[in-house]
Amino acid sequence: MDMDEFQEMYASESREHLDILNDALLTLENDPENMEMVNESFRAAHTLKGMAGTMGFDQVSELAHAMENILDELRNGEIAVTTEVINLLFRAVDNLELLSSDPDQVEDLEGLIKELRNYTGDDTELSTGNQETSASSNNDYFSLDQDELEMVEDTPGETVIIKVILESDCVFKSLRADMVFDALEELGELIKANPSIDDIREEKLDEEFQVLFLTKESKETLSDALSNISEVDTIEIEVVEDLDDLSIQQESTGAEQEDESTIDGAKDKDSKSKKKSKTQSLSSRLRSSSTIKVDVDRLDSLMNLVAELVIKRTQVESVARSYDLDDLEKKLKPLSKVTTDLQDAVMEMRMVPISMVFNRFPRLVRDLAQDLEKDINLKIEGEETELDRTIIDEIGDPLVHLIRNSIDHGIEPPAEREEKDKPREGLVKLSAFHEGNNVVIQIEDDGAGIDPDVIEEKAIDKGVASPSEIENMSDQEIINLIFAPGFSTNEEVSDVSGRGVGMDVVKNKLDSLNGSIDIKSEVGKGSTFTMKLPLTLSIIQGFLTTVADQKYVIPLESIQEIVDVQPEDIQTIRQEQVIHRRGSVIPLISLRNKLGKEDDFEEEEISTVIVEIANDYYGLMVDSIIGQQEVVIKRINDLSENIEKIAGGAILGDGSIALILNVEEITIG
Amino acid sequence: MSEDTQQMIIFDIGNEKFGIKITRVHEIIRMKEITELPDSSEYFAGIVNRRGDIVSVVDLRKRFGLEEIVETDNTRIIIIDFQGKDVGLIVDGVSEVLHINEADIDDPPQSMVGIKDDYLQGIVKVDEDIVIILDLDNLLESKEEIELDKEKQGNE
Repeated sequence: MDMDEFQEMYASESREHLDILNDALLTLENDPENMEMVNESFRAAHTLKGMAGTMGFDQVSELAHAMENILDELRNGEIAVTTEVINLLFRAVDNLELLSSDPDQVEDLEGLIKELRNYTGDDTELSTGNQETSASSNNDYFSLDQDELEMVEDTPGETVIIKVILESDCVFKSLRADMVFDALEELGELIKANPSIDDIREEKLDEEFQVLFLTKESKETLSDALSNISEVDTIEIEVVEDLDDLSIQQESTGAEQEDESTIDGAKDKDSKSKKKSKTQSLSSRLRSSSTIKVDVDRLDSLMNLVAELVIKRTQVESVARSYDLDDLEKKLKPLSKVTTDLQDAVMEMRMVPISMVFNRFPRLVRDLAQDLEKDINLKIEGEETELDRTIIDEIGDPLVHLIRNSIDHGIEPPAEREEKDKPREGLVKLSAFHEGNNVVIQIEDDGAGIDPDVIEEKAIDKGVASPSEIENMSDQEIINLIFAPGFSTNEEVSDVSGRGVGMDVVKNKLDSLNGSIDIKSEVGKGSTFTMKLPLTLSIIQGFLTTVADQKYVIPLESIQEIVDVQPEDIQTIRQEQVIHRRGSVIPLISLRNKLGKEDDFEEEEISTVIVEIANDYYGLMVDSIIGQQEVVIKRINDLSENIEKIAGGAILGDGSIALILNVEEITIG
Repeated sequence: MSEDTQQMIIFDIGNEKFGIKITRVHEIIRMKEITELPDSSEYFAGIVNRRGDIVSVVDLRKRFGLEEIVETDNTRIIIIDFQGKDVGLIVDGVSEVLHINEADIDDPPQSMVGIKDDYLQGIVKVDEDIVIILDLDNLLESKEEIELDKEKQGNE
């Protein structure tokens, strides 16, 4: 492992602890009595301090240390939980985040640290003391309770104490310790570690740790297994002859444990959770967390390989078909099932809960509400809904923008709300759920709603649409103008929503993800923004069609039906060709025309694909329809700016390229 | 080989010879079927399937405002790295790979056969020929029209 990998590990782990801090502080603000949250924050700050210390990030560790001190006074009741102190702590968290992501943006650190120190009143170094007590409470013995002792007695084999000393310049001690545990796992049962397994995982260990271990293996086997682990300096193995030694120690350490939990300040909770975990041996706890972290890039390359496999499979299938090789086709069927299953499995691996994005929002909403002096109740539903990792990474910014809009433009100031007989507190509801092959994310508010008259005025003012154009528009169409480039509804650009991105950017982002966005709004009642996203990006089902000798794929999700239109069924209304179908009028679009090909195609019947876009139907006229096919979307390097009509390319079984149509773009205008 | 020589791939467009550092080149492939994209700029030829990857291809003849010619057996696509992605350049032919001494590369003149120095990295004399080293990044990024000097072409 080189330093880069450590950096990466550090970055991802510190991210977790920062999230914990954010969550805990938010909960604490709403529930100032909740000492568990103070403790959780303290632990997170403490861990961050330790991790940063190991990596030599002094600023991080100093800042985290200053936070620790305040948190320590909070739990001792020396200072009270106020908005002021929470704000200060949040500022510290934000800067900790910046230190690891964007160090240039960090505000005056010394000033902030000073402010934090001043808040604690004096130069107290209390928590350093604390840290030492909790870290050095590891003594040279194990304290077993009754359950553990029984387990030791009931399990056949010898009880040994293994003392592991790591090399003094070992960088990630907890990692090495984990490797030791993994190696031991295979040879017997881990009973207990000293320092505790949790402490070891949080890097709260020196060069040395001990493990109480049950095994049938010889000393030599054990030491062989462990000595292969790098950065391990010495291993001492000692057989415990008399179990009583352990239980006697239990009594003597009883008091000490008590002490420790007092220091941790959450005596009750702590001892309760200890009781729960008592019946589990350490091994089973290790096993229960059998998840691994995998770099997204690796998943991406796995995904690409599977996609490749799908392409190759279709190639072989097309050979089998063109040579009428029945046997081969039969043999290919199970292969096709396996690849599909494999594909599903990889997809599933890439799925992450949307809470990864949603988690940021309570904090965001709180800060916004404070800045804008509004009362906001944020409700989150469906945060367990899973989405492809790539999409999760992309939708964060659009969501932030929409939530900002809801709070800034949507929710009225409290006084105004009361006048309107609305509760003082505005509601913003963020929800996610699955719908077919899509994930739907909704942002709903009970604010002022979007007034078409205001939009109309603004649109004309900004030159987004002309008065005569607007005259023919429905209210819904007018509201949709907010997605037009160059539109921003706010009178003056506010600090909150006016960050240079408009709704057009949100829409573009969704388009690029093959998603869509709709607005429903009622003046005085509120607005709902509905985003629809595909579950996954890379493989889609579509209909393969030909237009002027080129193959195009129309994504299945937008297709309603496929019909053969007789020339006599086509009518012309306002210079537009339309057909009547099931009582509705469907405009026809010639793809030859749209794609800049010669429109000289004459056929008895015209193959037409009826698609649905934002509740409207269109008929796309093609030369012929080849059939349904699964294709792997490949992005096209856009050296040219004007290829919005094409969502990507796909390689077909015969090696030729089919272009995937961006149906939404095709149906515009 | 001393440190200050570099290998260059020499290719032809019209009557001119151009050079590109071999380190920028991934591979040189024969002309293959190009799928055109609707509404794209004139010189953006389209996309090709390179072993399952889709690569965008630029027609350098069109980029230099030359008339289209029928592809020949010599026509090649040079796949280069452009901003971390593969891009193909259609050229009339690839003639040779040369070792060129850094010291022999002269600064570009203000313009060379109608190509402004914005798109030039330098020129180098090889025997009787002048090889033009293009600044490919600027060339591919810019949308400005370039007209290769046709008169000069005829004279050569």
